[in-house]
Amino acid sequence: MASTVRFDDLPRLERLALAARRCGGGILAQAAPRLPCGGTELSGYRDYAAGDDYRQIDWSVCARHDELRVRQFAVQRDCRVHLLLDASASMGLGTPVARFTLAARIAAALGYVALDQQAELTLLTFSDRLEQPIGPLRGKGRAGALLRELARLAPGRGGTNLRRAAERFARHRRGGPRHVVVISDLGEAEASCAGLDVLRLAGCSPRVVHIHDPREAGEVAPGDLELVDVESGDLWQVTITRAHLRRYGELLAEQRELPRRYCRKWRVPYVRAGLDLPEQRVLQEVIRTRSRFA
Amino acid sequence: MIAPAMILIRPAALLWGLAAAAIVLVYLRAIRPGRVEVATGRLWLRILGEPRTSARLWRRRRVRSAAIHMAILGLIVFAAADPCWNRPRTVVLLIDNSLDTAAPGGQANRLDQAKQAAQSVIRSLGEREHGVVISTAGAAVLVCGRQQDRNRLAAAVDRLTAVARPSRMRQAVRVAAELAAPATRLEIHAIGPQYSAGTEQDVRETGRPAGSLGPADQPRARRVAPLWPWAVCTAMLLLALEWFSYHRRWTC
Repeated sequence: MASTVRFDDLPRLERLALAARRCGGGILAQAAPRLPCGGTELSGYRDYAAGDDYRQIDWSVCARHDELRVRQFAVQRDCRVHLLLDASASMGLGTPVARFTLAARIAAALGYVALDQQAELTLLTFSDRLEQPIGPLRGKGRAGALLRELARLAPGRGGTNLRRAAERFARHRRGGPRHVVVISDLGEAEASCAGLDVLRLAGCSPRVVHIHDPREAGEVAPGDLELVDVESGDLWQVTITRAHLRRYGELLAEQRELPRRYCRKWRVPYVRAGLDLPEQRVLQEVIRTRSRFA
Repeated sequence: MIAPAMILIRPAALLWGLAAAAIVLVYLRAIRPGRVEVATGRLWLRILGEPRTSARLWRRRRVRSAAIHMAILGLIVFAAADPCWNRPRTVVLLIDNSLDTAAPGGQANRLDQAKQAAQSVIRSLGEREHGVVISTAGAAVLVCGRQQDRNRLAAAVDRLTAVARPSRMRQAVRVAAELAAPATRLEIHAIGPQYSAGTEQDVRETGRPAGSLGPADQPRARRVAPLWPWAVCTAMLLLALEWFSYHRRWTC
């Protein structure tokens, strides 16, 4: 099952990019390091302090304000965005659209916004292994390549293992700061939080787009059933009672709440994308979610 | 195993039932419970515990449920075959109405006495039992064909009049031997002065079973008990139990 990212989405993606610019980058906003006397881009002024370099005093401003002001510069740093797209078997589930379809559309939107912001974009997929289908890309001219690749992708057979994927990601990508956007259903909540820990500790600033299927809690009805775990392929012939369903609902809610609590605790931008919501609304919400830098 | 005293009025229903049972068995074997794909297998493992235990119980329950359903089907088929305790009778009344029976014999003439005896036999007919009335004067005449309606049989007996011809009892016995309804026991009652040991011999020669011969003085009442209501009630009870256990299983 391939995702259904279309090329006629470009005008809509352009509108999303505009919306992201208006809200200071939205979920992809990054910290602007203000280093006096460092960097090349003028970022502002401040009062002169003893020890400042005389050469940084802006005499025109001093003349206007009648006080000493020094220029402040920011370092122009490359912004690197990595989209970590969950391609495990569980992403093939979901109604009315598959989780992977929504995830691919969100990845397309985020990728386009990142390219619009002149960021270096890399698309990675993970399940029980990490793959890099395309990247790094730079400039909006590569948006077509990104969309083509996303249209080709499909969920695989493996299970979700964000921790292992994050470890491999951190091991092979050393260097400057990067933004990692995890787009996943976060099937294994504890392992997913551990994966986010690995990303944080590796110096990445993770963002989380949680693909949420609200019908997941009601997909099993009481009775004799054959339960198939799509990630492991295991089949169990079981009898489900209402007590089981109640317990399942509680555990599922707990599992779904765990990543949100984690993200709140560590100030990781988190947005929940519900399969039951209109796609445009989900994309707007994802794009406009403010990171702490926005 | 059907008890010897039990008779199936419509045994052909068993064949249809066997065919239905075969179809149901194939169906029960073919149908499988719904298959649900989940992404939360580990959660279910935490809830259900060891899945093999559940699978064993699941199979046991399915076998038990299939057995109960087959039992219900068997009972319905059994009811459709119309089982009865005591095989019902086909009572053939051979009434001698030759002219000599019009002669007085005591207070009433002999024909009236024969009619009274015949009415007594007719009154003893129970549920699912048939009666036939044959007059024997001149030739064996079927006065009233195989009939369960006792009023019609009684009316046919009342209509009999003496005929100035000799009695043909032997011929009547042969005709009577062919008149048994399916799954019933033939009883030939030869009523009249012509009854003799020879008549009994005639009946035996037909190879048909005879419950009673001769002018039945006071035929014993036979009670034919249909068993289908019991079979249907048992099937309903099993169905209710299965339904109750099915719903209780999910709601507990």
